[in-house]
Amino acid sequence: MAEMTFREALGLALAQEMERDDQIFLMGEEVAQYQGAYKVSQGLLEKFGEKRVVDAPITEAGFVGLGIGAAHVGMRPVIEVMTFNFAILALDQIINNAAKLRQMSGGQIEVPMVLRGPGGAGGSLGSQHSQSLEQQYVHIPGIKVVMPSTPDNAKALLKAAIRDPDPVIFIESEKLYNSRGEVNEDPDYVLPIGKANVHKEGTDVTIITWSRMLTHVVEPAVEILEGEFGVSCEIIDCWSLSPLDFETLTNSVKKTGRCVVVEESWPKASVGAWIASEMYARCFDYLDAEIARVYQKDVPLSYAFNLEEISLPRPVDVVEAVKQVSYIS
Amino acid sequence: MATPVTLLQLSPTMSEGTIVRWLVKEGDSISAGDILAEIETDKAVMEQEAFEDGTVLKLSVKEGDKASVGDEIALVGEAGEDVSSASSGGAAAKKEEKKEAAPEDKPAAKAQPAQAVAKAPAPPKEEKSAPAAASNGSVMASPLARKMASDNDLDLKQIEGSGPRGRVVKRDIEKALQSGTGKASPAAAPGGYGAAEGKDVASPVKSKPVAVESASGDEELAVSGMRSVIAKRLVQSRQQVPSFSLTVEVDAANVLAAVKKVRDLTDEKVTVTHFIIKAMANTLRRHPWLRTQWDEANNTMVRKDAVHISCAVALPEGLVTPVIRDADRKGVVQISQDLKELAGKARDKGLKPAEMSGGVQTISNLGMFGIDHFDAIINPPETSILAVGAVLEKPVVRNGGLDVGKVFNMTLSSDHRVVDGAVAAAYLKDLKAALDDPFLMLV
Amino acid sequence: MATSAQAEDKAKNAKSPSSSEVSDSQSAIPKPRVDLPAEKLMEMYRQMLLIRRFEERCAQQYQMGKIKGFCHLYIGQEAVGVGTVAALGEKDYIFQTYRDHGQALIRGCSSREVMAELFGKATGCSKGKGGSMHMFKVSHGMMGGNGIVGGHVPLATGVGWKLMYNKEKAVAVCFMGEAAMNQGVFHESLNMASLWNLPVIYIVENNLYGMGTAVHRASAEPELHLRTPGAYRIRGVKVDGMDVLEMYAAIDEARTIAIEEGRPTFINAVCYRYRGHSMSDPAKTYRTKDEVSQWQLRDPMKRLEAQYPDLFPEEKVEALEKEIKEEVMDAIKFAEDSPFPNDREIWSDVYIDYPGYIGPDGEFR
Repeated sequence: MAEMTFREALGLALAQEMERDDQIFLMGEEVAQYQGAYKVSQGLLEKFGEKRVVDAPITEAGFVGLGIGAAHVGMRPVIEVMTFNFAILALDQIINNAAKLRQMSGGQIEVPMVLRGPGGAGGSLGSQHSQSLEQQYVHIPGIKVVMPSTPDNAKALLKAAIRDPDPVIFIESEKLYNSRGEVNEDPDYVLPIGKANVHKEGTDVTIITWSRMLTHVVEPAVEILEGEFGVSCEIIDCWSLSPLDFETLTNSVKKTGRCVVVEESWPKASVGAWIASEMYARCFDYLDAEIARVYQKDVPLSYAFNLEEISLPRPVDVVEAVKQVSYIS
Repeated sequence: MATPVTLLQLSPTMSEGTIVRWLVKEGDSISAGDILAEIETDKAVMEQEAFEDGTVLKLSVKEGDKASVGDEIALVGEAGEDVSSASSGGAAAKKEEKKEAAPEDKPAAKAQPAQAVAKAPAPPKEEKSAPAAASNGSVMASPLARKMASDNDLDLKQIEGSGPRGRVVKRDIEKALQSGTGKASPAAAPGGYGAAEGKDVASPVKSKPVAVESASGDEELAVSGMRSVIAKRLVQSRQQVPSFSLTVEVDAANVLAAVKKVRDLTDEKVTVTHFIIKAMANTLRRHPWLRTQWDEANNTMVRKDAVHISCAVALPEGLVTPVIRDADRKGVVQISQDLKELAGKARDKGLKPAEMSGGVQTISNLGMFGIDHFDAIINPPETSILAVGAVLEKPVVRNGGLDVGKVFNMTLSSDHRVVDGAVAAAYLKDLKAALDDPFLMLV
Repeated sequence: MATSAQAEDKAKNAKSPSSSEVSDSQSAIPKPRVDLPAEKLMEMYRQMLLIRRFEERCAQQYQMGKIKGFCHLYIGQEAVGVGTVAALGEKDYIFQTYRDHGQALIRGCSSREVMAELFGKATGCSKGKGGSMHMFKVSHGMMGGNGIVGGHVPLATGVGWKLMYNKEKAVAVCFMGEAAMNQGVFHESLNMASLWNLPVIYIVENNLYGMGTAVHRASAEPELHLRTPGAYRIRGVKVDGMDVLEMYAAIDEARTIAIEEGRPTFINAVCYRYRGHSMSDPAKTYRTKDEVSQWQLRDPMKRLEAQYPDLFPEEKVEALEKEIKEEVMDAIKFAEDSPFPNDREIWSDVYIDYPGYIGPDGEFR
């Protein structure tokens, strides 16, 4: 174990995996000479050379498509988008090729590619650069979606994503890059995609969340809830959004009878909406209150600091939601 | 906006009712809690009260006419309001209510008689949480609370909701379980009204069979609600319950002596019947299978803890079975007093549904008509019924010699799905022993 | 208010590229560009005839309701596919558009497999899951037909990346229609292929119409091969796509350059589809019957027959026709007799490894 930042943990995962398999290459904008727009790939060019750490032109559909092309003939590309706001340009490649090639070829093709980069709000970046777009991918059958929440699981899950035989969308919260934590450095340490993590056990309410919301919003809220209101909260971290581990979620909600879903994204047709709907269907007779959802206000995110702050989910929103479902006034 | 007043389900088996008498007239201003009308249900005449303040705009159903549960029977609103449009709204609302009421039939069927809120019925909670209990009588509760209530035979209507808009939530159920309130009886089944009703509803209005003359001189009689229920339930019992009967002869000498002794000691006119009820209750306490009931709908059996004894009382209109609650914990004097009161109410058609349900065994005594023995039809969901014949003088063998003794027969009919022959026989043996020597009941 | 630029446009439009191509066709039969052994020539002829007859039957089966959905026929363009594939090696990859029956037939798939795929049967080359537009035979480098215009161009580029990366002596061939050139990914891909020296041959099957839009109405530079050298430093070559040997020669050359120098080539193969864009296009609004019949004079099979009169005596062609008819009819019977995919198949081939979950309705997800 060693303490490091989220970005260092990701870099370590990349280095370890590239060491292990020479068919892995990293391609994206500014990943090589510039050492990564967010410095995730720092030092990799020196270590692996420009053939394996490749600066791509600003041409998302092109290099994402190229990655899919390389992957579907056996390579293991890790394609970095500078942010997932730019991956929108490559959605045709992701949805029509990465997600479909295996199915429309009747199983002849595999696409073991990882598409990774930062997502979510970054801090006064304005509306075009501050979007949580995981629902675009979770919606599509044929691709998997992973969103880590801590340096340790970021490293272990990125390794799992690289080793996964299917295309994986790996979204890193921009605001988490500098967060620090203990990381298991073992090269063989991976975490399973498809499982949800009971981050903290509790008895009174289940809070389902993922990515940055866990540490920046839910944990501070739970501190208040348990300290001031005596509500014992169970926190579930859905680091794998597709596949989603409904067994763990269902067991928890059946136990507590209350459910709050916290996401950074907007409310309409979102992952949180899907989870809430599934929880209603699966836990109906166990619910003692309607499911509460916490999400970003349904407007593009403003640049102004104060507007940004009130648009995004805050700990106080989670506190209010938990109080509501616990009938605490 | 005028609000329709719909006919409430005033007893668990009620599907329609007759407006016996309107206690308000159009134009009257009323307050929540006022009695609006007397309604004849299948078993009794009940009162329906107002849930809201306002002015009676329209009485939609005439006295003597029938209405189905959920039908609009009146409109209440502000004085001078136009009611032409509201009435059609009432009709639409009726459909909605029926839809909502349907899923609640199930817990009602499952909630078998248990302890009722005998002495002091809980005040009608739905009044306090009026918005929660929609005017059609459905209760707002979380899915978990509903399930817990159903699992524990609790009546949601009797439980005060602490959630938003009076919603019953988990903690309310837990509180109710702790305090023992809210136990359901069929009378108090969701959608029903009776047990939660705070007042005695006794209105001495008897149903009058409507005679229709026919050519042959035979009379065609309209079936009263009560007759209809008796018919339905007994057919159901005969068709669905595989029953068998066992008869035993009891020497009445000691019971008669005990009856005399009690009469001498108190002013209460106790009878052999009261002793038999007491003996039944005590013996049932020790025979759990006779307290167990078959639940066809859920393919389970329900073991009742409280020993309530149903007593068949014949009325001109038909048979009713008021229930003596917790008879095993009452003395014969108390039993006698209870029965007298209940029978009086029955004659006045003032029995509340709660007073007619929840029994585990019925006693039917036709001794006064000189019947020496008979077998009776089980009154579901009860598992057994005891038919008691007249006390007759008969030659008996006592101490090796012939003597003139006073004996009577008891015939126990049992539901074989629950009670096997030997089980019934053992019960009957113990019951006989208790009556042979009433002193044993003290042991 | 005609400006000089507009006047220039007008002059250009007056003589459409299609009519200029047609007038070319009136010239004498060109001498073959390459000298191939008779066996190879016979095989190429047979392949073109197979595609022609197969596609004609497809139209029939489509109208009988056996084939559904979109269905794009290759009739008229056979020389482009056949000439190209004939020049490729076993380890090369090809990518095709939704007009992919022809390439599938000559690159790994049997007539039976293609017809069964068209019928949506489990025995089809993509298990009935792909259909007309998605014929795959990965074991033979047939990387499928793609339904999105230009969508597969970066995929072929990615395969070029892999060949470069692993120093494999093979090429990736990417067929596309001329309309795909106006998609962003086309330019993104060619830029990267040139930047990184990827062995990719981009072939535009320039049949002069993107659906019903003539090439000069969609491309500011209608001489398409002129678009790539200046922008991406990629060699642009114009080829007579109605001449199978011209195609062969062009691809052979491009392949050598790709493998030896790692340089991509762009090929503008001018050809003509005799039928509409798809089965639902009667092709009447945007071109004339006369234009079609003019192009049919340049039919690739007729040209090969004319170039090698000794190789294709009438009785030999007749025998070949008979053999091919049998093959296609057999394919139809096979497709007809084959089962549809099992219902459970909807769950397979979506992921390689997905734990899935049982939904509240009990269905496996």
